[in-house]
Amino acid sequence: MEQLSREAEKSTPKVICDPKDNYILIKGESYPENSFEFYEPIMDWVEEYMDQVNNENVEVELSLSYLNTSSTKSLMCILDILEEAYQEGKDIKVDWYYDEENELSYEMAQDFMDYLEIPFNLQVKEED
Amino acid sequence: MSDSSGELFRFEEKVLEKAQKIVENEKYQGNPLYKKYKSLMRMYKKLLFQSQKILKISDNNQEKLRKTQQNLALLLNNVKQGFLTFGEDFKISPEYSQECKNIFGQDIAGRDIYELLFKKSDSDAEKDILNSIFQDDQSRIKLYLPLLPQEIELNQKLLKIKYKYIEQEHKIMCIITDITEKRELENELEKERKNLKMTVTVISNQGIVKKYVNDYRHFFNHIIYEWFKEYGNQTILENLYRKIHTYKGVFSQWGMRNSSESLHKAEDKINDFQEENPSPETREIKKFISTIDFNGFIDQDIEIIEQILGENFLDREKSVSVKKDDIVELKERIKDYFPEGEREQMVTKIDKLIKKSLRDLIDIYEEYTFELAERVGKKLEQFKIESDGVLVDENKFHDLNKSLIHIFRNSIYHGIEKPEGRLKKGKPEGGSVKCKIGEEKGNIYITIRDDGQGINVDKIKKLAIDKNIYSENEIEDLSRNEILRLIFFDQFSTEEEVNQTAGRGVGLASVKREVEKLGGNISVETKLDQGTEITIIIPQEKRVAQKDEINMNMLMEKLEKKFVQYIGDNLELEPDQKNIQLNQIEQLELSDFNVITNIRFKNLYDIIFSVDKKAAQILVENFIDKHLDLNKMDQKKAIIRESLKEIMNIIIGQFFKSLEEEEGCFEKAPMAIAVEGGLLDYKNNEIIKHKFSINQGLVNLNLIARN
Repeated sequence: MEQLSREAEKSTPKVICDPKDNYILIKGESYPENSFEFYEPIMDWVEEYMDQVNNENVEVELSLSYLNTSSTKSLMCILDILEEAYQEGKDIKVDWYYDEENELSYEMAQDFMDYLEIPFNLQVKEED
Repeated sequence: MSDSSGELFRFEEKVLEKAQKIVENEKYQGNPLYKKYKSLMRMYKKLLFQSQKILKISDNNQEKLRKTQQNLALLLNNVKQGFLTFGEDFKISPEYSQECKNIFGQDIAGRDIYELLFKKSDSDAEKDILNSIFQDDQSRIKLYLPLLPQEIELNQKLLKIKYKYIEQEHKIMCIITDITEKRELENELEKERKNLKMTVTVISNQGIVKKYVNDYRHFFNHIIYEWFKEYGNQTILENLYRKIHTYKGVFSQWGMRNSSESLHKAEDKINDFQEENPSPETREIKKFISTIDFNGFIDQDIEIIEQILGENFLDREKSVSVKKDDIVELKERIKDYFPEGEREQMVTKIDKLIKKSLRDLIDIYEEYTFELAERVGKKLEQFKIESDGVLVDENKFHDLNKSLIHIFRNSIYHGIEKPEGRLKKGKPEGGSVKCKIGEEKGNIYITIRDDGQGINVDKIKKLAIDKNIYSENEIEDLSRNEILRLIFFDQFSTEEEVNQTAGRGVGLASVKREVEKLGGNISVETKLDQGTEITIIIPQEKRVAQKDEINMNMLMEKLEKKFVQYIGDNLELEPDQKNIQLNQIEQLELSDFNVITNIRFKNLYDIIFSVDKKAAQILVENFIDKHLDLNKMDQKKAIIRESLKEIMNIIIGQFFKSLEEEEGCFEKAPMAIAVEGGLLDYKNNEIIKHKFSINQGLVNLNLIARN
């Protein structure tokens, strides 16, 4: 399976989907005009990847400081795919990085966490 | 938020509840659509849950944005700068900072930026530039922005504007600062600076300025009217124009800008007059001239000068006549208004004016010396000062000059012989005292020589021994120069009797002290029966380091105090002290045991502690509390060295603590050496040597400044 990556742009986050390292990263701000257009290939990739994952240890790193509503929806779809795979017994772990200075960023992270059954770690984002 | 979203989906919740009841009802389970219905219900449930979450997250995000916006606005509104943005349509966006309202005095949302800022200018250049910015290639925007005006005058305010292109928004941001007050202040400062500069130029060219100002007044009050008798009307105007032009140039060269500006305007007036009246009559010219207030032209500048330098400064006769206080104040003001480099230049200019001839300062001793000679029955034939015009700051040289009396006194008392004695030696009956003052390589030197009997080196030796400064053996090791230098030391005088005029023995030492205060050096040369010459060298500019140069005497005093204290308190020894101070020696003699330490207190110093065997024995015995056999000292060298090192270590440690301002520190740890008859080379180092005797042993404490 091919790796999928996108560099961060003005309104879209940085994305790395690496099947060799079993690693998925979405990092940055997300408010593209057409969220579906941006997230569809990622969703497809994640779906295909989850089909072929067996007992590998998959790490998902999410570090999102701003999501518009449609991005939120798209991200939930991706999390749904992960959730399903997890329920099938696959080894998936999600790390969510939030901004310590910002209460709302923590709240948002918790909202996402409530949504899922996958092990979901809230981590403080380090200054970059 | 979560509550409201709960309310918000109440209808959907009910639909879901109903559907759940249907699924739970057994009667539908056989229905072919049951499975599909159930899965649809699950999807519905999930969608509902998702929608609630999304709503909540979205609300959170909104809240976050709002807060950020609030904080930004708070930040922007509290900055003393106006921020505004405008886009392609030139309309100012509603999000501008509070300060803009203060600057423009109105709400500017939606206003046209061009109308608001640039309309006043004659051309449409700004409009073209703005259009180009929005229409041209983005990469060239950086080229256009600097073309927009950086400073604008608006409603009697001076605005400084910075422009930034905001790519994401395709907008331009203006950062506007009201610099009206700042500019006024700067102008004030600039004016003051110019005035001070003019004043300094005027004082340093005082004579010629005075002459020109007087000439100027005389010309416009008298000479000009005489011209009418000599010249034709046309020539008068031409000559007048030339005259004005000369004064303008001269005054502007001295920074008298008000005068030169007025004269410049007068030139224009003459031109206009000539154009309007191609062949004027005398009467008309006279009338025209009388309309120009030539006297008033220079009044403003002269008033400024007189404010600083005192009234009637330019009226006074003869050269420098400025009150000292005024000069001091002028210097202070220059310090306030000028940057460092320029400041020094101007202060030097002023200093030159208030400096006095060193010759004049020393001249006061002529009468005194003649009188003194007469009083003590000696004859002085000549008192001569040769000087190549050395100027000095009177204040700086005051104390030294005062101390020079001792040298003249010594020349008369100890130098010049009585007339009969001189005749016997084949010398003229009357003696002479000659002073030479000069400048060389940044130093001022003063030599004072007499043609008297010279200094008897043997007599000094004898006195040094009598006064217990040196032992007979020691004195034999000193060079002639070292012995001669003793005349500059405290408690030393070759005249046994003490009287009002000479002989207390502090005279030359005080000269030396004053010389050293100025960072200088004093030396003596003498030839028996031919005379004595004392040379003083003073650096013109005191070395910078000297500012906080430490008084070595103070250091030695503290070191010695700690030494005596430690020896007394801990070793129960009481040293007898013989004091001797050496100034510049070339070699330092070591004793049997020596501890050498290099310390730092602002400068680098060596401390050398030398003890002979006897002193070492008692010091170490008391230190280790054990008897040492003087005959077996050689076998005990190691323990003696270590003990002495430790003693010194403690003493110097305490000495460091006693220093004020900052602590001293060891540059190198103490090092002990045992030698016999060793010498340390010191070329031209400042050195203070204190001697003590302990139980018939000798201890030397030396403080040496490292160059």
